[in-house]
This record gives sequence, structure tokens and C-alpha cells, in this order.
Amino acid sequence: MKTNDIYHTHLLLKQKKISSVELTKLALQNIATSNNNSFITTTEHLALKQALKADHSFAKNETCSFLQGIPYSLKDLFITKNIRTTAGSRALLNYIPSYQGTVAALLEHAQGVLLGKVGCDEFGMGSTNENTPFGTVTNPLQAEYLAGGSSGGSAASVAEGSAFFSIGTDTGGSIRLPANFCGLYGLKPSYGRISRYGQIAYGSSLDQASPIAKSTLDLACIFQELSRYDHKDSSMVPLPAANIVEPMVQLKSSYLKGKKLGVDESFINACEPDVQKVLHQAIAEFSKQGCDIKKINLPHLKYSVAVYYLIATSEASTNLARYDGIHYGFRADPHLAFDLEETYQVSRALSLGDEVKKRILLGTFALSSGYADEFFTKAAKVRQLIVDDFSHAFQAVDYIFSPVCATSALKKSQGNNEPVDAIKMYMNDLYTIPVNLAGLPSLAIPFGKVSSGLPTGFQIIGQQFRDEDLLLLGHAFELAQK
Amino acid sequence: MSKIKVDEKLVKHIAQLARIKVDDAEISNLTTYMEKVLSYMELLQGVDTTHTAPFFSPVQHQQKIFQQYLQQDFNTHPDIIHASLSAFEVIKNAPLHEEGQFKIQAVIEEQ
Repeated sequence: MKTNDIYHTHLLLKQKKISSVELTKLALQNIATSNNNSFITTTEHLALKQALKADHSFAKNETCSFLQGIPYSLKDLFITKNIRTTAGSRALLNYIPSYQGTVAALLEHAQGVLLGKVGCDEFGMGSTNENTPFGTVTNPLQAEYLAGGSSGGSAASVAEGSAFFSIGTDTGGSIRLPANFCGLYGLKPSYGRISRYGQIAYGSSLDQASPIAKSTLDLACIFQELSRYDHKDSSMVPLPAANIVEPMVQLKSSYLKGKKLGVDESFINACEPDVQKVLHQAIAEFSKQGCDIKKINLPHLKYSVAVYYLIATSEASTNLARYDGIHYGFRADPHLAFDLEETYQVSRALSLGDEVKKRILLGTFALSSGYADEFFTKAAKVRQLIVDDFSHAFQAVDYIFSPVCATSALKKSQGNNEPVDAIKMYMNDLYTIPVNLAGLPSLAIPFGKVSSGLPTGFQIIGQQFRDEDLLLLGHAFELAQK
Repeated sequence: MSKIKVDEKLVKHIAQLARIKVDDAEISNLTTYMEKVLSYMELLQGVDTTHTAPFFSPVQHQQKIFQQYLQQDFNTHPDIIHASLSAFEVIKNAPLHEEGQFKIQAVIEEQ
């Protein structure tokens, strides 16, 4: 039986009908022949070593997780001991971490097979995977289109058939957007459900490690391993790890009956006609399966982009202050930087990309003396109003249906050096950002196609810390489509 | 939110705070960017937040609730020494190091 999802492949591995080494060799061959530029660093020797170890465990009938023996990739924002970690930036071009981050450690402990580190927008800043010296990541489904960002490499490595799953990050939509553009499932968990220890920080109150895969059951297999409490991340909440795979396997699509799904029509109406059509079809499908569709109003979400680009950039300006050329990373040549002050200034000028510099400057301004109250604190207050909008909506509904993006996958830039309209670009994230501001979980579900033939879909936003319920709803919807 | 005068002088000041050297070629682009984005941010000026406290983290209240509920203090742990990185492991990524120390450019000007 040919399969390419985690759960069913796990069954075949357990039954010894296939081996992890076979799967890994196929994956490595696929990486070598793909043209999407997904990978920054491939870890062939490690992958084969881990595959062999997983096969030995299976031979002894020892299974430690659903991920055992399954090839995967990691966004290059995750610290991996002794494996280059670049954050998609010249600032960390040759940085080899001395320690293991928690996400990497959990996947190693689960006996997954690490194929390598995949590309992303620099430090997670971008929604196109073009903001990086490692080159644009293209959409495996149609090469003149983008994979999306910032977890473009994660999405492309799965959609091209190399990795069974990838772990990206989502600060303002960075897993949900590429999932949407590449026809995959992406989960942005509740803030605080997955450890951020060893995840290179962009916006600390917004960042969350986020799996991307080919089915909701696969996301469940991954989330079950990653949602383990880690005392090294003091922003984690001490909830028990999700125990979601078995309940999901037993689930029927009738789970959808009676679930209250909120829709803010203004979001749908602002999307491109092709996308609108698909969204209406999806809502009709939920209704057909017995969901109760309720109108909701989220009036402050129109301020999300403004709030996000003040809060995230402020947090980023602090988080990226460490890239100063002193302890690690790029340092400017002494003949370009004569003293310590120059070392900081020139090292950062030469190694940080344009978009990163812009965001650092914006954030530095928002936090600066005389402006912090007007900008940063004001944005934080409007953030509370956005959080209140969601709390109010969740008094009437169980889940919220929303577009991921007003458009389908974007075309690659023509490279003609025309100035990009920053606000227009930032508005790509209008529907994904509010979820991060509130710390809620959200599941990007692929559904339908647009006229170019590219996939599209929607997201379902869940209640805080009820990631398991969200995954179950997503699975029930997926079952109903089969 | 008052209308900010976004000019090259302001951008140079912010770049100095952020310790990023910007050359003349970049200054113009950065000023245009800041002007455009900060002008968009004026949208927030019209939002009434008189009785609203700032929201800084999605878990700022939840952790207190969980601690009360679980009656455990999750923000402290026993004072036990665990293995940590050696000086060698830490220093190996330094652009310049000597005798186990980070080597940097001059801090104090020579007289």
C-alpha cells in the first residue's frame, strides 16, 4: 500500500513492510532532484543514522512514538546541536549551536529522522520566503509561484514529497499562509503549548512552533510529541501533553453536528472572487455536516496589522539586539570597524537583510523615549480590544471560520527592483495576525482550488488551550470530504 | 497620536539607537518606509482605549490561574546544579577569541 502520510506509514513501519532507511533514501533522492530551493542544510549522514536506529527499534518491537522512523525537516529558526542554524540570515551564516533546542530534542527523542534545515524569510520576517540570502523558495505545485512565508521551506519540503512533515513557526501567519499556498494542513497551537526554548526569537509574545503536514491525523501525531511541558520556557503553560491520536482515529464526521461556527462576513467579502467562492463552498459544507453557522462581529480586527507591526517589531528590535558580532555570528572585518561601536554598527549593517533592518528600526522607534506610550503601549491596549473581540465571540460560538489570506499564492517578484508597497505586503497577514495577538490556536485547512489551479483553503480558530478540540473538528471535516 | 515629522534626521537617530550603520543610499528608502508605515499607524489614534489596560502576553493571567488551580509554583524550581555548557563550547562560535575569552575591538580610546 503506497502511502505518504505519517499515521499510515507508521503502521507499515511497525509491521516491517517498509523500513525507515528506505523512506529516508527516497526522501534524500527527492531533495537532490527538487528545484524548489527548500533546504539550506541537508543532514544526509545523520538522517541515515537515525533511520537505522529507528529500524533497529522496530525490529525489537519497540515503538516510542508515531514519528519513529519518519523523515522530517526543521525550519532554520530551530537550534540544532552541531548542525548549522542560520535563521535564514547572513548574521548566522556559519553558526553551529553548542546546545539542542527543545523542539529538536523532542523530535530526536521521538526517533524522527531529520533530513535537514529548511529555508525561511530571515528571522521569520516575511510572508513570501523571498527575504533571505539563501534564495526564494518556490511553490512545488507551480514554479512561478511562491511557497509563501516565512515557513516557505517547511511547506515546500513537504509539498514536494521530501519530508513527511516539517516544523515551522507562526508569529503572524507564517505556517498557515504557506500551508494555504501549498495545499497542506498547518497548525498554529495556542501560545504556551509548545516550548520556545531553542527557537530563535522574533516576537516573543507571538511566536509559536507550528507543524505542517498532509493531514489532521499527522498534525495530531506531531502535536502529541511537541506539547510537552518544558520548565526551560517560562511562557509555557503546564498543561498535560495532548493525547489526541487515538481519539482522532475513533472520530466520525458526525462530530461536526451541533458545533457552533462563527463567521464574520466582512472578512469573506474582502477576499478575491476565486477565494470567496471557495470560502462560501466550505461554509456550506460545514452547514451540510450539521454545524450551526452563526454571524459574529470582530470589529477591532481591522486594526490588527497596525497593532502587530508595532508590537512584533518592538519585540524583534529587542530580540535581534544580540546579533552584534561579538559572541557569535557575523563580525565586520577590523579594517571596516575601528572600535567596538563601529563593530556593532557595521556588523549589523552588513549582515542583516533590508526587511529585517526596517522592522528593527520601526520597533526601535516604537519603544524610544517620547514615543513608547503613543506607539507601543497604545498598540498593546488595542491588542486587548482584539482579545476581547474573540472572548466575546466565543461566548456565542465554539470555533471561528476565517480566510487565511485574501488572495491565493503570490507570483514570484519580477526582480525589477520596483519599490514594494510595505503596507500592501503586510496586509497579506490581515487574517492570520489576530490569532497570534490573542494567543489562540488556529488550523489551516486546504480546500478547493482557484482558477490558476493552485490550492486555497481557510482557517478554523479555536479557543485558548483547546487545541485538541480544534484538531478533532478539523479531522471531522477532513473525514466528511472523503 | 500626534503627527510625527519623519525625516532623515529622525531615521539617523533611530538607526544610531539600533546600532545599525545606514549609508546615504539607504537613508532615503528607509525614510520613505518609516513615513508610510507610521502614517498608517495613525489608524490607532481613533481607537478609544481610555479604560483599557495594555495586553502584553497571552499567558500573563493564565499562569497565575494554573498555579492556583494546580497549587504548584511553576516559576521556580529546586536549586540543584545541572550540567551546563563548558567555556570551550560557548566560545567556539566567537568570531575572535583568545585564551578562552571573547576578543573585541578597542573600547577605550588610546591617549
